[in-house]
Amino acid sequence: MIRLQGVSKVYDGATVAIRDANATIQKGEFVFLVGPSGSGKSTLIRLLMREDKPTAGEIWVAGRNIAELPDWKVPYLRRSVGTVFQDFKLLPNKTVFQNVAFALEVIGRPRGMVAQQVPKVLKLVGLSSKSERLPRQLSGGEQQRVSIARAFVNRPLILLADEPTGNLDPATSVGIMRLLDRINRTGTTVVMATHDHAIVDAMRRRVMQLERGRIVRDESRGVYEGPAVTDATPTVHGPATAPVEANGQQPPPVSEVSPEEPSVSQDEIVVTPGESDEG
Amino acid sequence: MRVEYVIGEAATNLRRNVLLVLGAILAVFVSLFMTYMALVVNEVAHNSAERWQEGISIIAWLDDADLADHTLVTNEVAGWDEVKRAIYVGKAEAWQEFQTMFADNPALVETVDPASLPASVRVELINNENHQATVSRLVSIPLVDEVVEASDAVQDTLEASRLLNTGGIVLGVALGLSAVVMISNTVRMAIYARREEIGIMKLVGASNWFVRTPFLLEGLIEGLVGGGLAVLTGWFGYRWFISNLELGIIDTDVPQSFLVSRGLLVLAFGAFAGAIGSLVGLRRYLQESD
Repeated sequence: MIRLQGVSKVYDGATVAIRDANATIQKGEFVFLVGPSGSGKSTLIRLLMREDKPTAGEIWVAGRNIAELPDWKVPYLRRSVGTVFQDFKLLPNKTVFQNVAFALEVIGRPRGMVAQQVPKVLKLVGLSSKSERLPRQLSGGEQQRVSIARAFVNRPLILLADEPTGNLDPATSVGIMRLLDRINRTGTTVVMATHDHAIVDAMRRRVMQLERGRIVRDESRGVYEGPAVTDATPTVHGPATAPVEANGQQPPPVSEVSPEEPSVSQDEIVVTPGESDEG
Repeated sequence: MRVEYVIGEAATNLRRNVLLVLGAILAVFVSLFMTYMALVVNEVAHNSAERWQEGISIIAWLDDADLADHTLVTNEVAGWDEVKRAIYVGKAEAWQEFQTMFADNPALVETVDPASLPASVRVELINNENHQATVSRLVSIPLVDEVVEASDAVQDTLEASRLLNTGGIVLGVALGLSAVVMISNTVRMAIYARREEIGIMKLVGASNWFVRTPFLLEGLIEGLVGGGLAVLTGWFGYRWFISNLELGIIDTDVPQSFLVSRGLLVLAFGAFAGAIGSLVGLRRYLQESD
């Protein structure tokens, strides 16, 4: 689903944000990107959604090298990559329903589909009863649920989340994580950058640790604090990562995902009605 | 792309910046009104002075006679010291000229017998000062039926039309440029007011054209409305002008078809200015990520 091959990102020719990153993420995986501020987590997220282009290397997303993707095709990439941010990015003058519907309307989806899909996804995130509220009438956790609903309403193959719980208290964060987990179970690949030790330690999912732009640890069922890292050589655990050969060259791709791979159908989503941690 | 969505967004953009939008429309209007009027005035002057082009200031209409006699007269006039040029216009040429002059009035052309149009000698003088002396000499020639001179009014009209034309076009272009800048400003303001929405549209994968089209349409509407106002004002202004001011010597009637075709041209200018203005305003967003 995602493969990084020798990816580097240098800002203004000086600041190195990502250094020779190599990794493979399979379809349906849940991956935490951890590391201190400035370690390159957000840059990696930006590279995966083609907000930025890498200075070197290849980034394969759903069978396409998005480092080489022409600008006019970026919108079509974005339709299969949902994004969630710390600051929610909701439109203040639109209701919950309109905010979610907007994501479908602006990619030209027919009105009937919008009317059908938006209530479904609002039910999934537990906000059916608040669909006519404006963002300012919601709690932070509820706003983040709207933002997740907007990112997921088009059934993307991949959901990228950059510190989605960064503005939320621990109890609310747990609710958001349950929601992301539920979305992950529908087959959606989730990549989440976070600072939150408790969440990473509780979920026990794949953890990629970044430090000064390098992937220094990659564990399939990791915790936030890994074993002490003494040098910049990645400690590779588990089968999920492409092995780095002794001569430093990359092996051929493990598997190619067809770009036509369909996104998850609505039927695969297990909905638990009315579940909301904000009460 | 949903048409009603695009139109709705463009309408919202226009409403949000009413004053700025009106300013842009006004700039387009003034610029195109000048251009439209310059075109019409030029046509009026050209029509009324059809025979007085290229320095010709006296026309001597001749009685019907043999071509040989006419040639004799022409050669005689051409030989005079004060005459720079004497051109013979035969009956056939006169008929052609007549048809061209009244091309917009086929009914009139039909009623005229080509044979009834007289031949003439068109005279250009070296120095227009001794006008009267030449006229007297021409009148004294037996074959000459009637002598007409380009009146000062005609000369003035031609001169004025040249000035108006140049001035009108120069002003029209200058104002047109400022109209383009104003349109690009309204588009930029609209983009600024919607930057959050645009950010989210890009985030969720709205195509570039889906993001841009409402803004393009906004500029296009401003250009077309300004152009439309210019044509309407020019049209009715001209009608008022010819019905209220008797200018006598000058044939102020311009064919309807001319007003329509130039009106459409002016509208096209408006649309063009609108499109260019929007594209300039959108330029920053045309270049995607750097």
